[in-house]
Amino acid sequence: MYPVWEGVILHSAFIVALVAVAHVLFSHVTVAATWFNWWVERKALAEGKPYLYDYLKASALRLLMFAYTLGAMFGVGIWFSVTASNPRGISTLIHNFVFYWAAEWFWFIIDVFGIAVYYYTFGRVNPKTHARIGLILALAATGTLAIIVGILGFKLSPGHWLQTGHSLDGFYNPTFWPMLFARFALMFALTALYALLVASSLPKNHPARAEVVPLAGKVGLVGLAVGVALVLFWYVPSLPEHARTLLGLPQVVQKVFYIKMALGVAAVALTLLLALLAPQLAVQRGVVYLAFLLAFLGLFGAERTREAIRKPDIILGYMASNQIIQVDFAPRGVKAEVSRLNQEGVLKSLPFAVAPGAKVAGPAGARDPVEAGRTLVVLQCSSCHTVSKNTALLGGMRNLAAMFHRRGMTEAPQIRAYLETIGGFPYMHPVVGTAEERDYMAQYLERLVKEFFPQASAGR
Amino acid sequence: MTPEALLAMRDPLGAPVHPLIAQILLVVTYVLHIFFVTTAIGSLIAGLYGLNRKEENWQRLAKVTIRLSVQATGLGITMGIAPLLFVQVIYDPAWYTATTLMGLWTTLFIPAVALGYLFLYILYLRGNLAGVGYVALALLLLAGFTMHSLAGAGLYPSRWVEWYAPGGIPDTTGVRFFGYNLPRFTALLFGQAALSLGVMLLLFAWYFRRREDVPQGFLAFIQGQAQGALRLGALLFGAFGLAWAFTQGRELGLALPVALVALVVAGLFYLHAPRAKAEGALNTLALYLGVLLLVGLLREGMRMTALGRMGYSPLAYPFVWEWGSLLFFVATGLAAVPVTVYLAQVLYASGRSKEGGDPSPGVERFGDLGVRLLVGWVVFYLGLGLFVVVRNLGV
Repeated sequence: MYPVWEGVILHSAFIVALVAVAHVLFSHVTVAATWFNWWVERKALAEGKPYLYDYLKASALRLLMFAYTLGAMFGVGIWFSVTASNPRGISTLIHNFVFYWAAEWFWFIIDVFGIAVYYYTFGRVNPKTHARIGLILALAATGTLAIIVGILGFKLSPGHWLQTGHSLDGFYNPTFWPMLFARFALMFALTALYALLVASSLPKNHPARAEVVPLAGKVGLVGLAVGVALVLFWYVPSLPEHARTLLGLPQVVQKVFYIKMALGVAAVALTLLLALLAPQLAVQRGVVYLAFLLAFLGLFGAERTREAIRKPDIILGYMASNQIIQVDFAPRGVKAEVSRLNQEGVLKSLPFAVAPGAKVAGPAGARDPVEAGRTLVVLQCSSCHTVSKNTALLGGMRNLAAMFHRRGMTEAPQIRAYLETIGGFPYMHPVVGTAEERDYMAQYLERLVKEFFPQASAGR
Repeated sequence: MTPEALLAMRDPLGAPVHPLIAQILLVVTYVLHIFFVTTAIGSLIAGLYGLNRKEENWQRLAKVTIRLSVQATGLGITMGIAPLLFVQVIYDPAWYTATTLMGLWTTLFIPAVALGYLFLYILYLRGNLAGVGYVALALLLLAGFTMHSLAGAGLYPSRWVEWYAPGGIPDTTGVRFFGYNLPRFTALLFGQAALSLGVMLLLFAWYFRRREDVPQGFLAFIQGQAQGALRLGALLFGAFGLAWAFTQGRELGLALPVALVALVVAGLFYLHAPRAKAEGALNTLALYLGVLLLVGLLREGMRMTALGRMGYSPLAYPFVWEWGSLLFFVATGLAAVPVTVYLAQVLYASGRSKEGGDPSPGVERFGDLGVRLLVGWVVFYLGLGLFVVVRNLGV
């Protein structure tokens, strides 16, 4: 177990989510844009429409500046934010899939180098060669999607990996195929929005606008319809039973998540319909930016839902969100950590589980019981909950103080009793540690409630 | 932190390959990464300096180096993915402790690079906004310092607990920097930035030597600046390398090897600088890559020594041969490497004249092969997946 980074002002998990959704947005636009541009370039060549190159140049410049490099950067950004917030979770992925990521690295190099070659060789090599570079970009970009889908799906549905320990079983997991095809389809909807944005940068009477805008509308609507259908009728039924159960629990997936997703889909669909029916209106930048913003919200809802239905685990059936390994994993000789921590105690077992000495010797032995409780709460609860004022902007994330206050539990004995019950919820594991350590946790949580709600102690 | 606790922090799954392979990949890919990163910093500083000079040659050089800095930043980040992967395989206790101790800076690393890159691009497109360039430089240096601290903090396992919990009270905000050593940072970033700049300027002069539209006087100027950059890099690396040897080096019992490497690198390039010509740019590049490898090995040796004092050896990392993942990696490499070479060939051909230029028929055939390899990879990827699905049907 490592030191804990709670976050600053914002909770670390929220920061991870923001970076991750930015990456999804950039990278999804990128992958499908390469196919879209390849198709437009073929059209320009086959139908003798050189003016389409103006669109392609404008698109490639923005891809070069923003989507490719920022997509790749924010992809790395997820790693960095996750290594700070959940190091053992990412470590599990690394020690299974490092060579899949290393394989993806090859595609990243082609992406980032290739888009520069593509952009700087407009008009400098023959059109056939240029179109071939476009096709290479499309295939390599698809390669990045193809690889990350396996790793993402593994966290929620490790499948046969839990029995065999083989990385291939974890990679080609039960949600792999539906997620692969659903994401591939949905990204065309995002790319269609991007195409509208690029088209809006061309002069109003530019002939490329008349070609590209309706094409984007058609491609995007088909992608959106196919993608949504795949999610609803293939991806969701493929989820592990546990995840499907959590989908219906408002404590885990709040209604607002569904509203965001629906809003995102509706906004994108309406904008793409406009591209077919009223192309001039669809290329108004305000309209497209609004659609992008709502699409971002929708993606945020979708990705957060995917993360939430894995609770209480970071790798479903293997490691809890608080990074404690829950089960024996025979294929690699890994032992569950829970029973050892319950017997020996967290404070004795983990190198960074430290607390200051007590000012007055008491039941905590040499430790300050409240500070010891803080250490234990931070270790076990902070990956999903705000457990201090450090990360309490706008109330924080699933703020434990607020949750206990709402339930009227403001005293340590009430909180202690509640801690014994949380393992009964499908989205929580039991608290880990000795009975004494649970007492410390309750004492810290009492202090936390009173820090956030001073009136709770005043009214005592 | 006891040696037992340090060893227990290793991931219980073990590495998916013999740790020596991961270690070799870590060092080799680090060399590629640091080459582009230092190129980005060196060329940006040269660009900003050039913008402040009125002479035409300096103005032209500024345009060239700012454009180079943009591309090198993108490639530096992309190349950095690989060492980032492999360090987590065999040095996970050190790396993750560092990333969590400095959680805020770890998380801000990419936003800093991304913003720096955007500002850099604005500078490239607008050409004369030096202020934007200085902001970009500050952001990229912040990112560099963060990465330097993350690597440095991993060298001091005996201090980790005190850093995390001074006085026994855990600090979970991650707002402080740990493990940095300014002489090392200066030698490895600014010293190497000047050397990388010198090498890249020589390559520029070599590539454009036959282009009639590029004035020979400008190329001679570039060559002169390249020699100056190499000399400056040698001096910086030598001086700060020695300071590094007598601070962190001495602390870890490695003063002599660090000092020797600093003197060798400095001496080699100081003596080579006046003889570095555009015609021999490829030789200078090869020499420089060799030097970067030497520095990479020194860094790795330092890490092994520091952690070795606590009984930690990366080569003793438990491992299994994970053949599935190796197959996936090798198959992808076989498809991707030729395609990358093809793209470089196209770029090379397109710059041969002012109007551009087509690759040779042989290169074109190679490009067709590249596309077939990529399609073949897609077939392999889907076929492997179907094989796994079918194999698991009966389980």
